[in-house]
Amino acid sequence: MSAHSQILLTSSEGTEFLIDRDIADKSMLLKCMLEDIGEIGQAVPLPNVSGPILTKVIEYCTHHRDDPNFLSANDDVTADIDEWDLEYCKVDQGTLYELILAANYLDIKPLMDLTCKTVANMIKAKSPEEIRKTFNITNDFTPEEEDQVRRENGKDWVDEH
Amino acid sequence: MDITHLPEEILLLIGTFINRDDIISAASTCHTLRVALTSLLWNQLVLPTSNGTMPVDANTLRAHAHFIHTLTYRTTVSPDYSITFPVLTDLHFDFPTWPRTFPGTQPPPDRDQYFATIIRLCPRVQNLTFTNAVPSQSVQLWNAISSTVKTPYRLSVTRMDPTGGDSMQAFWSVCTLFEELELIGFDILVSNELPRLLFPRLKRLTQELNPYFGDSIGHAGHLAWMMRCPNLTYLEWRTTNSKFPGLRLEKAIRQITWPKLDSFQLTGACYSDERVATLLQHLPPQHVFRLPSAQLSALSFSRLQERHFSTLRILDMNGCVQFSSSMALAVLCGCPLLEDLSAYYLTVKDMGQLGPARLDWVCLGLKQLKLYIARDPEHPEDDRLIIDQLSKLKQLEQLEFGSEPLVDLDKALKNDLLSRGVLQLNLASGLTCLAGLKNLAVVTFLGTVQRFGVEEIRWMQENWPELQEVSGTLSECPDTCAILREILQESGIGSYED
Repeated sequence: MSAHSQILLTSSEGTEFLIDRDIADKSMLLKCMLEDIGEIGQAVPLPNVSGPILTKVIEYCTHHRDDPNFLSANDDVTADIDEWDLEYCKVDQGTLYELILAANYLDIKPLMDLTCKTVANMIKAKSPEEIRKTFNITNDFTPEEEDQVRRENGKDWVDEH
Repeated sequence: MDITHLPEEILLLIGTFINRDDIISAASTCHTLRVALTSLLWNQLVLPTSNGTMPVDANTLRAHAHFIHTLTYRTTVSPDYSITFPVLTDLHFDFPTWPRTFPGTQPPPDRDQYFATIIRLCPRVQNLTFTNAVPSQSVQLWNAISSTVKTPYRLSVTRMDPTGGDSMQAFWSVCTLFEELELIGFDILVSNELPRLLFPRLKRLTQELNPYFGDSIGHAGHLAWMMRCPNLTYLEWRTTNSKFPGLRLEKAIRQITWPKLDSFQLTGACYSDERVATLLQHLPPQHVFRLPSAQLSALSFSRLQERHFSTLRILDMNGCVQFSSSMALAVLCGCPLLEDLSAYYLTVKDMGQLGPARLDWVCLGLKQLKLYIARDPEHPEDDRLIIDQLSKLKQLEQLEFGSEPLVDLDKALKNDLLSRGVLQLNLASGLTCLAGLKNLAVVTFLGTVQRFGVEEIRWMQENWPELQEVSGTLSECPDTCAILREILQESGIGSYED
């Protein structure tokens, strides 16, 4: 198997994407599939991933193609997101969620961590009302229920060890 | 599509990237997020709350018990809450005050039974803490721990009552199970009660035991039992110095009682320079070394340099008043793995006198630096020598060069250092060279005067993204100082005066 072989992917709308094998290998799903069945010579259908999202995923994998720490890059929960990744995640929320789902489906852990961290950063240091506003969440709690989390799991009684 | 349409396991993953307060806020927005974050919400629990009420009823607790990893009891609670915690690993009896028991008096008779009952409900517990939770003289509690805890890791006991006999032996046999022990503020050991056991599992030991009654085995007894711990890697011994068995400790180290020991911290003992040198000669290569001794001087320092520079990560020379500027410089230029240095002072003049070949600081992973840096009034331009070296410390998180450490020093030396003035970090002296210190969070100059203006403070805000605190006298002019403090506080950066 040559390192420079190429793989054909088909997005949900049927658009075809020809990518290098080492880019496809960033996805554990594709990597395992290709290892199992070898060169298949026909397009791999990805019915869960739209063309624009697949383009975005390929952009990520291409940028990190030679990254030696690819799989451990985001292990540090507190580590900062690097500049390119930060720029990469500047998309509307709908796109961000679709990226998360695609990363989950294709099993690309660093992309999964990056996109989830991006959402996490949008939650940080906000009140419940501010979070609702940020994410356009409808409050389906009664006032009693809304208070319950704070009462049962509230920070006033939890020691920060 | 909005966030609530994401699968629960993805919402949970997002939850692992935020802190507890943020998890509580997010879970308070709607049912979907609350359900998704349940396991994180219930990860830890404290019973009861600080005002004494129970935050949950027993049924709610029962429904969530399988999420709880860390449970802290602040006092005894009703038996209704006796529920099994199947995944709990950390159990703390962290009582806010010490019950009124004295040597020879009995704590409430049911206390041990209470602890034992709870421990039996936590089969996966690894880490146990008793703070002010004074067990009585029964064997029951220790036996409950021995028979329940399958994967013991850390045991911490703070302020336990003196005890003896069978209970003492049961306590020792519990201690043999753990890899880490922290024994603070008690002296339960009565003469003739030395353990007859070996402690091969024990790797880390912190102890601060106050011999407070006549028949205690005292420090010598403690040393005798520590010599039964052949695999210690970490020893932190805080003593009060009364009858400290210095010679016997020295002998134990000479005999290589602890061949794997790489962290040695001994406070409160009084050792001469020769004795410290002997310890350093025989200790295995150290990662952490701390021994406040007014006598520590050239001889000890040369042993430190010969035997430990290549491995040292944390060096704390507080209390070593003879630790000079040139010694501090030798550490910075000679310890490649150093992460944390706390010492008294260094002078720009000494820096200037080093040959160019010895000038380079090699500790590029340094995270904390605490010492007073005295200028050379005849060569103000030499400030740059230090700033150039500081600029290479890209991992630096905390930089303290106030005069606070100088209080212990000889008065004449202290006055001389103060009269030279402290290194200035303003734009004119080369502050811009430090733009690469992106992790810098705390910068303090307590007891000294910097001559900052608005430009310096703005520059720090722009260039040091992690900045949390800039403290000390920031300007000779009190009005300017107040303005600068206000600018810092407006952007959430703490700033404190002396």
